[in-house]
Amino acid sequence: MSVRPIIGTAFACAFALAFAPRHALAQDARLYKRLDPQTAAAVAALVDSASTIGLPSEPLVQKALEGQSKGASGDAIVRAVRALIRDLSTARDALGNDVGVDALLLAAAALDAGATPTQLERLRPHRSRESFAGGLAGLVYLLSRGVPAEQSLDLIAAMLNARLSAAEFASLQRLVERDMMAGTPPAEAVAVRARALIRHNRSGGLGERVRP
Amino acid sequence: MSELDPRLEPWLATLRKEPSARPEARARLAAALREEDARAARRIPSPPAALAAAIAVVALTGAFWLAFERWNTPERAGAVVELASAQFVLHARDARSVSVVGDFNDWDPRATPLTRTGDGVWSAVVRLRPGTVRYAYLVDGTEWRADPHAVTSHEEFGRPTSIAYIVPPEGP
Repeated sequence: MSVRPIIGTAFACAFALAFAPRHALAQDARLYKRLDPQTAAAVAALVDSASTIGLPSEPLVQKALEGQSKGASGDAIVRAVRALIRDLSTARDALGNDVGVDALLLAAAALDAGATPTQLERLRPHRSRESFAGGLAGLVYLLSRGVPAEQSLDLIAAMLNARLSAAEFASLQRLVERDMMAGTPPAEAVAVRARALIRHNRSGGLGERVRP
Repeated sequence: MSELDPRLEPWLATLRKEPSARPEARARLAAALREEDARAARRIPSPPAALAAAIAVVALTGAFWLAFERWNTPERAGAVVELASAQFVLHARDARSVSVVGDFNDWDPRATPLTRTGDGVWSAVVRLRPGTVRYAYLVDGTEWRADPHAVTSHEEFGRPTSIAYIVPPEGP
């Protein structure tokens, strides 16, 4: 038996290990530890293909782990990961290739909550703003409270245009929740509070930090 | 094969004749050749030894990268990640245990238990990276609940998932 193929194979494996994406290695370990081998392999293949088109892989791994934790079947997990790839891809097409992971995730959530890709595209000019993800979080909130998508987009675009901070977007949610508890309809509360925040910001006011 | 130079023909018989040498010199030459063969054999590992060496190379490379991955956190790599404190609170009067499960703990139900702080109030403070957080509460290890204070909640895998956005700390 010749030793040259053995040594050659070993160096090929070592080379592959050395230059393989380290995050992918770690993620695969989590998948194979928590999922059955068939589901883990299917999810890993989806994660790899998503990575090759530049989509973030961590949210996909987390989606699979969420499914496992919630007792979902392997098929359901693979379907959910595939659906998330589709939503992230649609969100990226709508907002541009240079948006961050948080913004992509929130945009995908906005699509899930009823916004259309065409509507999301209206926020594209604001994507370089520091508070862009905060604005998208505000959009998801408005949609989840039943505010019509067109009105939500108009308000969030106006707030981004007025350079509101992420903290101010968060305070919008808190203020609207308070108004709703007092009986104000969500759409009305949002309109009033958003205009007030924009006015306050133009007059030089600072946003406040809030926590979830 | 090329033809022999005609000028060498007179020397052909001499050239083909085995060189004469003393028996001691021949023995020394044979011993030297045997030693060289033995040295060459020692330099080439046996197949089991080569296999063991190959496995060791692959295992050491893999172990190195896994160790590096654990060691090389963004903070250590120089990225400034300012963590924010997030308080998770759930009112569950009759619960025996509550945990928060989400993206920040790989959806591990055992990773972040809440402690009972008052009259049916359970809470935990978690240091998180700013950004989007997806999570849910798990009551008594079986009942999934959305966070009533979250930005939004929806069903994932037939159970609730909440979304929160952790605001990045503002600069000085």
